[in-house]
Amino acid sequence: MTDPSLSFDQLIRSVGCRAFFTQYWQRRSLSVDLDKATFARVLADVGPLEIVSIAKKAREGVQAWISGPDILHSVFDADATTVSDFHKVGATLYFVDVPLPNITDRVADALGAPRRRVKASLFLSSRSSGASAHFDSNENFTVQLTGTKRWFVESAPMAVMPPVGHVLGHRPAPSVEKLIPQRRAPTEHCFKLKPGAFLYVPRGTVHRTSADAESWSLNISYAGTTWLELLQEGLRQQLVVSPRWRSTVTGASKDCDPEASGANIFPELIDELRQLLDDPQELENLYRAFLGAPNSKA
Amino acid sequence: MKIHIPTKGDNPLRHDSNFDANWKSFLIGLGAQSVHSNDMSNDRIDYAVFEIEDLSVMFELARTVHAWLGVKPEFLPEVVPKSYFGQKSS
Repeated sequence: MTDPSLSFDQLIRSVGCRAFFTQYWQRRSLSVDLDKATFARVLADVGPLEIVSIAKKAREGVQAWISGPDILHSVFDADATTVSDFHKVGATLYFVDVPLPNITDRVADALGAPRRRVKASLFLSSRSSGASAHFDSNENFTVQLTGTKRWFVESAPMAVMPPVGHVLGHRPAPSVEKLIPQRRAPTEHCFKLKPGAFLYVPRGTVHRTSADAESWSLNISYAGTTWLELLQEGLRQQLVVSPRWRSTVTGASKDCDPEASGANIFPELIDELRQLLDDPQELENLYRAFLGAPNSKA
Repeated sequence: MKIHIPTKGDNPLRHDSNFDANWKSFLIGLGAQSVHSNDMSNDRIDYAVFEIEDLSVMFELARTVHAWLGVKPEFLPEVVPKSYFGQKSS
């Protein structure tokens, strides 16, 4: 009998979780073949690969990518009513944020990540299509569902923990400009993904793709969640319940009226914050607030 | 349609003193409703507005532009919503 719930461990069984987190996670790419039962489980969760019904499910819509010998990469918004027309003219279809909680929740739970930040999307790559060299700000997992697709992936991240993605040859966003090295000697590995292949590409790693025939693939992305964000969001959720933390900033400037400076309670609040951060239980509550789980104490 | 206009060094057509007029006539001949040009730091990008209902027309337009100018155009879609009565206003 097939196990009804997919686990992250099953996706990376051939290397194991320990090796994955110590050798690959945020360091280098990993390509493995899923066992038959795991791949069958993924296919069952994805369901029929029918473009109109998947377009209806895609919570962030559908993008149609058109490029060719005479056309630069062009992106169109599509939906269930137009997706077939784009498919007919050979567009690559990107179904963004398709709800597949049996997969995304398991991945999020294994990673210790907020479930809302792990999203599944589907690609229907057209024949003779491909993505030009770029890096993403997300951690990316791909499962090839049908057909074959070649991935050219650099051996290590080019940009360390980039806040946004970047397409090589384009002007970088100011937030990543300084993260891109002026000189580098990239080593590129080619992975030919066949149905049942699993690929992990770390955030910031340059990759490009090439498809020789139409193929479907599942992308699972863990979108930019940083420790800084956890601290900000977790603290905000913890502290916003306090009238003192919600009180109006007064007396913060040295030049203000001396009477107003008496209302400056910030030094006392910082003392409170220090105590909070020194309390392991409160730290646990920060994690829980961020992950969306109920606090362990009221 | 967004077209990155090649420099004079990249395309001899640019040396023709009538290039701008010929280029505009060419695009209008293809059905462009308007043509806009934008120069910044020796980079010239032109925008031509076409109304396209049949997606396959894009490929023919792109092929013709690519052959004439030697650069690939990019399409920046502006999707016009259907009118309330499901008919285009004239």
